[in-house]
Amino acid sequence: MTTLRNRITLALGIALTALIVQVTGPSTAADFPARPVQLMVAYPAGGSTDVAARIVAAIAEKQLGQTIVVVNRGGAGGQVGWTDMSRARPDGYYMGFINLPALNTVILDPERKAAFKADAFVPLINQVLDPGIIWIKADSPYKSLKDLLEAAKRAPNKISAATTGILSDDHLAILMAEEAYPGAIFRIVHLEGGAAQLTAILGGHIDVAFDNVGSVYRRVRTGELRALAVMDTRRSSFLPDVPTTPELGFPTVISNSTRGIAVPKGTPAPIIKKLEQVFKKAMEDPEHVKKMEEAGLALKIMVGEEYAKYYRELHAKAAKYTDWARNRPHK
Amino acid sequence: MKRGWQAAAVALLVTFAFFIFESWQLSLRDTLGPGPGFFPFWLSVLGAVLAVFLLAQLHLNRVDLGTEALVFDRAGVRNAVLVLVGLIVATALLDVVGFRFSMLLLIPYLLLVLGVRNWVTVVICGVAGSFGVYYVFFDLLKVPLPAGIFGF
Amino acid sequence: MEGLQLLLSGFAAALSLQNLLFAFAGCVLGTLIGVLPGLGPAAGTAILIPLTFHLDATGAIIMLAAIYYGAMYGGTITSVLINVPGEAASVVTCLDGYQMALQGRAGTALGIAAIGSFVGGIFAAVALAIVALPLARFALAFGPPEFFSLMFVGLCLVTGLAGQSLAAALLMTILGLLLSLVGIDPVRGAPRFTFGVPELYDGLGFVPVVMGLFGVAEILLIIETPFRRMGDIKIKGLWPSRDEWKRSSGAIGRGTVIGFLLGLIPGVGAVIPTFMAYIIEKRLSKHPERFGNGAIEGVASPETANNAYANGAMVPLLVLGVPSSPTIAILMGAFIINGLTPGPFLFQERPDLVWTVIASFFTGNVILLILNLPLVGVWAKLLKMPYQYLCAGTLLFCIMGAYSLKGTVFDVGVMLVFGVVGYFLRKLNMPLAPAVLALVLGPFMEKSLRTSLEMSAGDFSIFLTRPISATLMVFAALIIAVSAFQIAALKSIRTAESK
Repeated sequence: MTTLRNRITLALGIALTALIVQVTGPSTAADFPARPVQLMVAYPAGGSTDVAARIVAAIAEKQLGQTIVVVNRGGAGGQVGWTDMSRARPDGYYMGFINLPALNTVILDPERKAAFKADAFVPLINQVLDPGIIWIKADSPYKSLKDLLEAAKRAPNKISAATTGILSDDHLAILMAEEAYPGAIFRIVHLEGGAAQLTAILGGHIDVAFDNVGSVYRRVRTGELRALAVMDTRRSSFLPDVPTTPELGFPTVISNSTRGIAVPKGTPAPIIKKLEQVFKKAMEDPEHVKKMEEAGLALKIMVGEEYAKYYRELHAKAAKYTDWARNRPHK
Repeated sequence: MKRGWQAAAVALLVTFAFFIFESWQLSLRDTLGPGPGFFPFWLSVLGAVLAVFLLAQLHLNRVDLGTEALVFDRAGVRNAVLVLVGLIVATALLDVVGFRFSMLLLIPYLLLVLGVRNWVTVVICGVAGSFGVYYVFFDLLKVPLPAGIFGF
Repeated sequence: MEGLQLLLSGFAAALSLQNLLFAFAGCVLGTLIGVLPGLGPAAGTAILIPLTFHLDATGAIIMLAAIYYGAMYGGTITSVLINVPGEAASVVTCLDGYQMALQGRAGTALGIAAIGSFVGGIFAAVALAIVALPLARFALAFGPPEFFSLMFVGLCLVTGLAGQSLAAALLMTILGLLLSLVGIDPVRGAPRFTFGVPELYDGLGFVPVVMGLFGVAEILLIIETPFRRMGDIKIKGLWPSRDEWKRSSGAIGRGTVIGFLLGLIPGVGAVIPTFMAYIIEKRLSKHPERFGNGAIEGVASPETANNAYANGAMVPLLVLGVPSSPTIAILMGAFIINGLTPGPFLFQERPDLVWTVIASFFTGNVILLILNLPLVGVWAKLLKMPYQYLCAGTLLFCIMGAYSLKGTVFDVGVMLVFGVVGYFLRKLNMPLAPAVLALVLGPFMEKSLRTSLEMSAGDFSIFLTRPISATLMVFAALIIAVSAFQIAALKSIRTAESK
């Protein structure tokens, strides 16, 4: 019928015009951003990366002038989200949180078959540095880190140690500890996340847990759990009474988890500069500082080249331990 | 119905064979214990055996298939296929033209295929189902919906 | 008793106008979120957290908790009306709830679901208030080996879903297990059966698969024969018959216990209690063939279980500070953002807050009942819409729901594929429930199996040397033995009859 055909043609024409108008959209740094931007978190909602992301996004978007939509792309320890980011258009409208050394190990582990290499991302600015911590049940027999390592040496592969994931910073930390105390061998058990560690340790199923300060510091403060050491160069401001590994004689056992924002390779330099500025301002904002303090997440702002350098150095270090983790006889 | 079950059993057998092949490629066992292929391999072997068993049972008429016959309504299946094609196209378009335009095309298409002839209703539903829904859920409730490459 | 006194003062606070308003808002929002298929309580709660930034801690938590159990009920509405599980835990309700709707009894189904949810929620809240601490300690005894054994028991119960052909049910179970293994291997990190598609690295996704198998498949079936399926739905009376009340009360009682107990065990998730309750109800029933064809206890049981579970799962959260499921983890995040750490010390430091929240579970469940019961008739009328609009609308919501899970079109694709698969399986009358149960249990089982083996350095006897695990394994063996016996008995009766 002619009228039907005419109607359809008209509708299609309108639709097409609308589309074309949108295509010739803005693309210079001065106009950036002209619409909402996406901030991807490679972990499910509610985790500490997610919490920190939402806090900074809420503050940064006022600066940016456009909504920052936090998008969760969890799965496979971050691999799903980072794969997504590596394939996104580098126009500045898609950025994401990268977690180190998790990202490093995903790239380095050949079994993971990661679709991207280390240079697929341009690190913009780091937000959080959560130091590693070794903790036990309050009534556990181990009184110090040395006690624990000695026990692991005397009964190799009998003392169970929990991580929050394979090739996580916790996993690598256990290997560093074994390296620093030759002969000590832990029975490594990979759990999924801090909550699983809590049940396992409190229930007495596993002897010791390696995790990060942000997840457990409150319970250590209340005495429900006991921390043997913080794996950082200085004491955590959240747990000033807990000794650091260098203090205890193990200066090589340094482990932490950092979370920062990155963009896909190829994003134009002026846009990168602008984003760095916006987020730096947001992270230094007193409200941001306060909320992060409440969440137990230690700020360590590294911008641009400083962050990129950190990323590269960590990559090299992670390569060594990833190799070792895969070839370790007791896994 | 018996034919249908036989077809299903064969399909399952093929699926299990695929899983057997794929898990064989992953290591079944190494120095550290069962490998990633271990459980899927043995599960699919068990499945394949069961599928053959079911085929044998069907052949010997030992399965209670009830009294209902397997009937495909010609016209109905045609509609279902049309709807499915529409869904696939709309899904493929989601990231290209965005939710709103994709649904603006899909909803009227569905209604027309299913026999609605009142143009006014079709258009209203189309707009409500695309732009209206988008507004309520994306703008008001902040539910993630595809924005398309043009960002809208 | 000090606990009682604290509870009473908690009530006083919970009944303040402000907190009642928060609970009300939470229930409404939660129900709306639950109605949107796919967008489960997890995503909904996460999305609404920023809203709660501006509220005080107590109010925020009351609202979020209300959203959570409100969403449970919202999921039920779509399960009953259009066979689309609004969220993962509503899958089982589809089995009988939708059949009831097709018989014109949607109102009754929704009504009994509301009542069951209410009873389950209240009883669980009472249990929570009274026995929280000792029970929590007991639940801690569940380590990975116990977990595996529990899941194994669940899997053995699948024989109760067999229907006509045990072989078919087992085949579906194995298919479900294999599908659940798609993704990155939890131990080695090697991608399995993913063909290099990164979206598959985390597995197929339970919700898109189930939305396809149940929702989309049903729509395709309706389109094929609209008048056979939807032609003659006369809305019958809303009130269940006396006989149905009797059967439901038993189901509700058992569902409450099962849901609550499983809620105590961290990590179980909301889907498994609904399956367990349903299967146990079917096994204990004198007319198991009614299940899957509109048995009211098939709705009462899982609905009660999932609300009892929701409140039971608060125990590990409040007492130990351990979240039982991703949704509860988000609730915990809400606690943390507001500067509170759930755990035993929260009970000591801020008992007023904890007891107010617990008291609000009571008020919340009451509000939910008052909200939903009158609307049940309204929802039921929705089915009288001409089927074309119902189908188009359902498909629209399914697409939205599937996309909103992870923000990727891939999930929509998965849903469509399984829609086609489900269509054929339904035409053949092959049992879907075993596949779905296996899909849920699969990843848990593999993970806990391998974690257990890591704990025991490869020694399989760990499952039999630990007391709780050993008990569960014996239980599983018993179930298999009884099923085998029943099948053999049935066979010999049949051969005797045909002679």
